[in-house]
Amino acid sequence: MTPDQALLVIQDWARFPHAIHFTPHAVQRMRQRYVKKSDVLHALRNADSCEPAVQGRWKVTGPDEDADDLTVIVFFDFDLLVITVY
Amino acid sequence: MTASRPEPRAHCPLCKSRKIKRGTFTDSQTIAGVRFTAEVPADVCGACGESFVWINDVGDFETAVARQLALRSVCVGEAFKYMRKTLSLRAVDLAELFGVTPETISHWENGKPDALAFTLLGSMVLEYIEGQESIRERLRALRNPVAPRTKPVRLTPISARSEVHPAKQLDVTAQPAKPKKRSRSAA
Repeated sequence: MTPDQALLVIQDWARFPHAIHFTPHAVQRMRQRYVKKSDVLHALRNADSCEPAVQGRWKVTGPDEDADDLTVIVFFDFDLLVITVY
Repeated sequence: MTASRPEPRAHCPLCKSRKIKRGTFTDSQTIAGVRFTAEVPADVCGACGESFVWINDVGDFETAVARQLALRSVCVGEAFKYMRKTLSLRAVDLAELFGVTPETISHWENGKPDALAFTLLGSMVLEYIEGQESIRERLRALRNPVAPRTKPVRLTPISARSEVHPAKQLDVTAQPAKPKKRSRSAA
């Protein structure tokens, strides 16, 4: 799968977020950085960059609700898993 | 806001094991020196031990914390920003609703908020949890006045809401936060 294809799939998941899960590590990072669920969804929906990362993961960068850049590492197969945010 | 919980995952996306069971995860957030914690539902892999927290549970915890901030009147900039973001309001949109400049909102969020503005925002959070937005609508109407209606207004009885928002059911505890330890940052 190319990064462009992956980005489209990820943006689709973010538009219908019922099947998105977070690892505890991602949740902890969000709490530390005051990043909210809505920021993650906003960044994924409006992502402008998607690069392959290790172990089949994708590094997606987009603006949060306050237009600050947010990077989200995700993994998807049957649903979308947020691994971490920064 | 209260979509039904999906079935437990068929397999762990990390180790591919099918030993997935229901469990919990201790979520916590520190705002203005107060640490809020709650046990939120999670799917747990019996093989690798990794947990998976459903997006709505992540959001419900955030809403529960915002509710506590509103109820406790934690009138500090950090709490103000947290409550604004819970409502998914951009600073510029809130500024428009409150009739102030975005710079004023930034000033409040980075320092001491205006007490009345804090109370109003807190009321909007509490209303949001009840599934209502009347304060927001009234503020909008104040900012965009329209000609008064000349036709009579038909009133309908208010029906009691039976649905309770999960944010009100989450048992959130609050305690003074421990001083931060120095630690290396990790992605």
